[in-house]
Amino acid sequence: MPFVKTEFLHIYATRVPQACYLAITAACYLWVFQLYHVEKIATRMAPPNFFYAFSLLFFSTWKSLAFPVTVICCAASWMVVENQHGMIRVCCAQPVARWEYLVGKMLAILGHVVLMTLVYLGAQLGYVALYSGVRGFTSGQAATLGRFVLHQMVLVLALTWIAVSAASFRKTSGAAIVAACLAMIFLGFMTTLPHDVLSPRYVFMRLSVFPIGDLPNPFGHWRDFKADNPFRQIYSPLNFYLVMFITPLFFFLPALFHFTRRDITE
Amino acid sequence: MRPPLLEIAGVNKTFGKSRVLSDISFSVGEAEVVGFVGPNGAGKTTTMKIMCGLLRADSGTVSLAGFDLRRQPQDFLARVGVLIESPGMFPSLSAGDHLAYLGRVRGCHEPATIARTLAAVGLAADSRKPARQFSLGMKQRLGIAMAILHQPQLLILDEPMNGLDPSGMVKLRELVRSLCRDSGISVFISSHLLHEVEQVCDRVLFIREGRLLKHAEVSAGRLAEIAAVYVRTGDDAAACALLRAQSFIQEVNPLDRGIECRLPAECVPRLAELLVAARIPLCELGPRRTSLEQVYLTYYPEGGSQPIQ
Repeated sequence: MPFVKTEFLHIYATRVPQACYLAITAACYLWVFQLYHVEKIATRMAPPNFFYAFSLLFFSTWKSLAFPVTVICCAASWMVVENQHGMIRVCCAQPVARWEYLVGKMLAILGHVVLMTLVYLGAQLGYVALYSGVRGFTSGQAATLGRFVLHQMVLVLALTWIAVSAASFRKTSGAAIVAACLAMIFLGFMTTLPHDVLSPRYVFMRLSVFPIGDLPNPFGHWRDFKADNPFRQIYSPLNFYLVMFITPLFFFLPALFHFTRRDITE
Repeated sequence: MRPPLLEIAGVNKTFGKSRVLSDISFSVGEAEVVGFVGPNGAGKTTTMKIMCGLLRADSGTVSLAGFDLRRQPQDFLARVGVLIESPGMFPSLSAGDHLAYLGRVRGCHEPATIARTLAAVGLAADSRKPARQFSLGMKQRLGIAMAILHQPQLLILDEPMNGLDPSGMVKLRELVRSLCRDSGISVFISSHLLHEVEQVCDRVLFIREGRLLKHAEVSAGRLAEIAAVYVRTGDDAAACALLRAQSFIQEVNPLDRGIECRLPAECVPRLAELLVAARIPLCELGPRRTSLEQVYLTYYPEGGSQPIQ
């Protein structure tokens, strides 16, 4: 798939990913500043070690949706950048099958999203290590952390896969971002489906906090936060992986069908 | 006789209820430059987009060197270079980056190949400049560079002269002729600049309202094909009488100023010798051929808006 590397390098050459790395690192510090300097919450929670502090910081940043929105917007925009600038006429006249071009482009974008996610998680781990130290961080917790990173990566990749599939129907960056966001809203509305229509275990957005369930509950000492909270995994990892793979297919297969058959009129 | 490089047969295309191409059939030979002329909306770009796989024809076949576009698209497209409409490019990438981008897809991204291609279109000095700083002419040249990077067998150029200054047009004309002459590349080129088409093309196809005009292939008028000459002498009346008496001259038409003669091209020197021998001062002798513009106006009266009677 020649387009994977080509597209990856092309996106890198635009310097948008590098700007995203800096922006993500800087933005994460805003939450660090809030938690450590304003609320001083890390010192008040029990037990105040590295793993719990990271759990709290990640929960704060993730629930703001700043990172997933950034990823979705960037990915959707990258998906249609050729259409936006008229390069689609050149790209689709290359000796590469349309499906190969589409899949290659998506994989390149997913590659960048992997790097962005690593920066996002790495920045928070670094900040927490800096502020709370790594004392008391056990090998068991390291294994749990590794599982969390894997689950989080799968979740972000699935979100991105859906976003780029929806975006591929459009021809300008703005329209692509709107299409990707509409796809997310559609997934959100699926949580309102009656349980006898679709079991909640198969609703994508109900699993959007599944990776957080790998982390310890930093609010465990607060009585109201014990019974129902996101730091619990009520579905199995197999169920999680299944939904993360099957749901994007519902967006990807129509996108593939459409792209391989559509006339390039722009 | 060698088979043509590109063959298009019975291509039809509709957009919704609108039929934009009807039974388009033509061929392009090896190392041939073919012009494609027609008014706006005639179907030129649609035809070219079908030729490079951007649009799917409703019916008909397009084949290049024996490879069918529908059945063997990769083999077909590997032999084609394309510049359709205004060249698209990424604003933040340089000319070199653009060629490297396509070179990686086509497996020809060696720095030497890229440098040679940029030099061929006169962009070597601007290879590191971002495309957003390019003028329209430079973008056009970069588009051509992207089309010829992999040394295609067929080059499809849609309005490549748009935005080029006169010197740019001359360079492009030379480039097209040299690609054809030195590398044996066939070129299929559309343009509204009939004078340029006339100078660069071996053959011109006319399209109108989605139909290729029958018997519309015209010679662009090489000297060897001249069948009519314009003669101006010091005594046109005497010259006219003398020329009418010659059997090798098929037709003699006196004009307000000078004489128009129709005769085989190889007989033109005899005509000059005859006038000199008769001591009739010869002031001017030159080809009198129908310009492409005149042919165009014949096919497209009222700029193409009126039907041909």
